[in-house]
Amino acid sequence: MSNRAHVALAILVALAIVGIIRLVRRGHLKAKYSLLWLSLGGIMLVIAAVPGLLDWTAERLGIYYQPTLLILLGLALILLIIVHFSYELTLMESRIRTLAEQSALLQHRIACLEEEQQQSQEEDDTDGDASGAGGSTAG
Amino acid sequence: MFNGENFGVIGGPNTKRGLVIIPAYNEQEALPGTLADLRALAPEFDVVIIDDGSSDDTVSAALRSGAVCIKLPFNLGIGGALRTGFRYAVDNGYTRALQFDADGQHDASQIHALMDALDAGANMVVGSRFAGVGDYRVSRSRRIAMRLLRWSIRRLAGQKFTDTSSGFRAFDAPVLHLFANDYPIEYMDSVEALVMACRAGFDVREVPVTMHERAGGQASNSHLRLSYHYLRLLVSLASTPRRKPTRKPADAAGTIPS
Repeated sequence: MSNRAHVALAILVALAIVGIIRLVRRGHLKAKYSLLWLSLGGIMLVIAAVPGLLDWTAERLGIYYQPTLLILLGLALILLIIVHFSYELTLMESRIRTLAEQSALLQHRIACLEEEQQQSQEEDDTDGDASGAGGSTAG
Repeated sequence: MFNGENFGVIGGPNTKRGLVIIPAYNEQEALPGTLADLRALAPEFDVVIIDDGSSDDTVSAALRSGAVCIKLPFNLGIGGALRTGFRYAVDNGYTRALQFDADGQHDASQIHALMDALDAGANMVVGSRFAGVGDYRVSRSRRIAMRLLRWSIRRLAGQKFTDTSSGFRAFDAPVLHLFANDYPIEYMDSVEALVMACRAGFDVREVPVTMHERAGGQASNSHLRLSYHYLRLLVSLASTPRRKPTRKPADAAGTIPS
């Protein structure tokens, strides 16, 4: 790649990295996820900053058109990140489901407890002093 | 003296009683009839309805008939509704439970046939449409798909089933425990659950039953949807883990907290 291309790449990557860091500082992006993107940016930055690196590696790997390596590398990392997201999404979905089920069960349980409490209060009121067995018909 | 007598459902010991779990999604029309049938034909069972985020009046239909109704905050699909029901059964100490459809296609009088099989030592019993009794019909393409599915299940489960998608099932305590923690969430959950139970080493049996035409609601039968779920199911079945038989069906009955 030409020097001009290297400079352009370096500027673009630097801008992207600054953008990611700003998102993290504002709390819009979790540091956990920013690491993925920052490491992608870091690799790109090294490639942009060391002009001979890409050409040298491509030659070693038998790639005749050097920018292909850049694209290949970027694509591989992006796919990795996407797989990671699917993983996180699966985990999140199963947690949300469990929470929803639990909240439904708890809601029902609270309603039952409230009813039970109310009934026992009513029974206390009506029974007064006579704590006989007659209260069972109340309902 | 006041005690939880009339509230035995809450945390009380229900070792003698069985629970009927009815997942319901927009079943306001069919549900009252189903519940009336249950009360008439299987009055000794407690009933819990899991409302799967219905947008119609399913909840009030359930409450009006005096059944316990648990309302999920949004639609989880039948698998999620069932798992909630299994969890409820385990939490409340039921040692056996039934899965029953809200739409009226199952026959409440046949519950006892499933229970007899549990009594005979099965851990899980499936009411099968195709095991002899009944005159239930399905379309040709569906029959072919079901046949292929049955073949792969036979290989995975190591056992032959005639009706893998039947939602008319009975479970004993160890199976309830398994499913309360881990139940397939997607459509066609019944097939996956069957394989899971077999692979966990449980004794799963089939009992012939008749089924009615659906009384109300809508069946999800779009071909594209079915194909998608069919493919997803094959991937899912192929990756069902063979569980370590940590929970021996026979021993586990004793370990269930009452």
